[in-house]
Amino acid sequence: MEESPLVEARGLRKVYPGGVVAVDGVDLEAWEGVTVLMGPNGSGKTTTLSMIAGSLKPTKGYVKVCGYDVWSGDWSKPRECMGFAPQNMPFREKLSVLENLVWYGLIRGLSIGEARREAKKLLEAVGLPDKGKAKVAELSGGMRRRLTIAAALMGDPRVLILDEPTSGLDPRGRSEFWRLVRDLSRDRAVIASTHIPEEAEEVGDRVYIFYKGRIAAWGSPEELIKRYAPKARIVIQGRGLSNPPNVRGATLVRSGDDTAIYSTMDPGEVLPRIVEALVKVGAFIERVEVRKPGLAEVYMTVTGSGAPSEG
Amino acid sequence: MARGTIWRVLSEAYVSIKSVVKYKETLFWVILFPILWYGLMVAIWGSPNPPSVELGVYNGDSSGDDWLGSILMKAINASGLFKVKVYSDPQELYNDVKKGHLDVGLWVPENFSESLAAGAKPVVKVFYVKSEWGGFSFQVVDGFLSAFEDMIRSNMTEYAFKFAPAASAGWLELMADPLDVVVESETPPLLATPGGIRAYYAVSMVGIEALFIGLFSGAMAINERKRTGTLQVILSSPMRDWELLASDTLAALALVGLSAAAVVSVSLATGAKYAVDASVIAFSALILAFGTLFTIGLGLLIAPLAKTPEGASALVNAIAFPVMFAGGIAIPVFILPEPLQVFANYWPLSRAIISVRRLLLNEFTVNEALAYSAPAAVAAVIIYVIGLFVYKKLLARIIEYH
Repeated sequence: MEESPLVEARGLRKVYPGGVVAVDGVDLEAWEGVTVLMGPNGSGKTTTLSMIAGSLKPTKGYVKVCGYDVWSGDWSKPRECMGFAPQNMPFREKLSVLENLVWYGLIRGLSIGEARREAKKLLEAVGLPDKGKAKVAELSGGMRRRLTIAAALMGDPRVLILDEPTSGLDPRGRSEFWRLVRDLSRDRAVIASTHIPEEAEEVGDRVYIFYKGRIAAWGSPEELIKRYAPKARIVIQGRGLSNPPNVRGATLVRSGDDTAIYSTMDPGEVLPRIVEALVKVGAFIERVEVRKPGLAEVYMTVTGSGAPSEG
Repeated sequence: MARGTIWRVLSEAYVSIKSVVKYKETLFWVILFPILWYGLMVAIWGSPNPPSVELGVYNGDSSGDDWLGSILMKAINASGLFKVKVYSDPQELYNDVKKGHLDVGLWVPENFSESLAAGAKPVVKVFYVKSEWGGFSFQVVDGFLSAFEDMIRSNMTEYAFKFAPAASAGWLELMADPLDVVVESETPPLLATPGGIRAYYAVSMVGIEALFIGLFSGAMAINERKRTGTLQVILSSPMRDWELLASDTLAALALVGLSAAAVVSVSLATGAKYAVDASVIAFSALILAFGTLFTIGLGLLIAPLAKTPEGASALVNAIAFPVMFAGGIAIPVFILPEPLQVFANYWPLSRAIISVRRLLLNEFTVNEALAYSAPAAVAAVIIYVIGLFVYKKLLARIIEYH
């Protein structure tokens, strides 16, 4: 385990012409494992990743990757240490998969021979061993995502930066993608952005919640949930629920004619009491659901707004 | 130089060369277009002989193979100088000259041979339109008639010997043929041969490619990458800005080299003749590289004027199309109006192409070619260095604001 973070950003601020502040005062660290930047579109995730990846200069603040400052000092050193995949990884459609990967290897300073060997190894690793000669244009969306990972991993970087890597993929595709990233990223720091809380919760060892260009909260998903949304939600659906009773150990969050929502720290103990109380007041219960709190609830708590995926 | 740097600099040349094979549009513009245009140029201007004069003839002399009118007609046809059309109506012949359907009209009168036999001077009429080409055509016909006249004079002198006193024979002969013209001929210069002309236009096509490829490479270096997202990936790679520019420069030189190899191969297969040895090839490549460096630099200078690749492309075309003619790259400088000749003599790429042409056509020694192209090389380096600063500034602006 490293003693210092592989990525360290301090006081990052980005102001565009016209005074538009895209990112303001972002402090961030990434260690081995997966760090997720979560937030709605326009919250500053991509701008932050671009500043970390070295393609967008911060107005203020600094970024260090593998201990090297990205924006002052040797240009190449920190960049040798990272692989970056923007939202739409650029490939030359009519060149073959292998030729594209060789180009990614060359710009990272590998020789043609080394790049070819590494490309073949990575194609094997991402499950595209027989696609080396295929044109990129012939690949499916899922295959293209896997090729993106292979391209970003050319040169064996310690830090892998992925901007919205699963956008456009279905839940199964997302799940397979992250399994692949996990497999290929042992001993690496992966920084990825997403606007899907469930995804951040599932893959993130550390999650930074972005809101209006700032970090609203950060920590492991468990810590965040424990700190900001510790209570489970009990959702009751049926009829005659417009005036639900108060129940000890639970807080009524919302109610309507056909739905009542309680929040509680201990759903196992409180649920029978809620059901009993509702039956007593003549409500007809059709469905009971206990919702475990997640990062969507954390996001709503820390930002006071709707879920980020709705942003 | 660090090992990684070398491979990063080679990266764009790698994809460019691959793209020539994989992208039909690249294959067309880099290989097929210059070959097609070379064919067109050779078809239009490929012959070292001037185009033949269109001559209309009305032969009114009485028929018979030994009559002078027939002898004149045979001589006209045998000369190879004329495209001959025979008329039976002299008025029609005259009208066709007037309308510009013929360059020159020749009217051999009815009593041509008889007049001579009777000791009277026959009249041959020549019509032409007094234009530049008409005047040239008339000179050709006039020269031909003079030669024909000499022949008649010589025959008549020979006939007169039979009756003249012996003492005056020498004088008669001198009067008939007063001059002894001694003619010596040299091997024509390479450029005056069909093979040389083909070589000339092959070099022109390489010049056109250097003009377009260099300008596009410089003008699109940042714009196109910004559009495709490649720039973002490159900026987060260890590649430095100067390595990227060096890589683009090398890629452009590689494409011009490929194009040159294709055109020169086709030209050799179609009979082009070059005066070459290893040093001529090496110095031609060097001079051409400086010419391309100039166009890349110029492309870098115009890049900030365009916000999109389409805008950059329009700018490149707006510069390259007029310059390839006005700069004497596609066509010979001597056919340009004088002010454009001055421009062509100072435009660095034109100077480079003229040097290469003359070197390959044996009109320049290596030293002469280097001396002639030296100002172009200096200008190319200056423009490229200024372009480098503009490019760095543009890149810094993109890094600042995307």
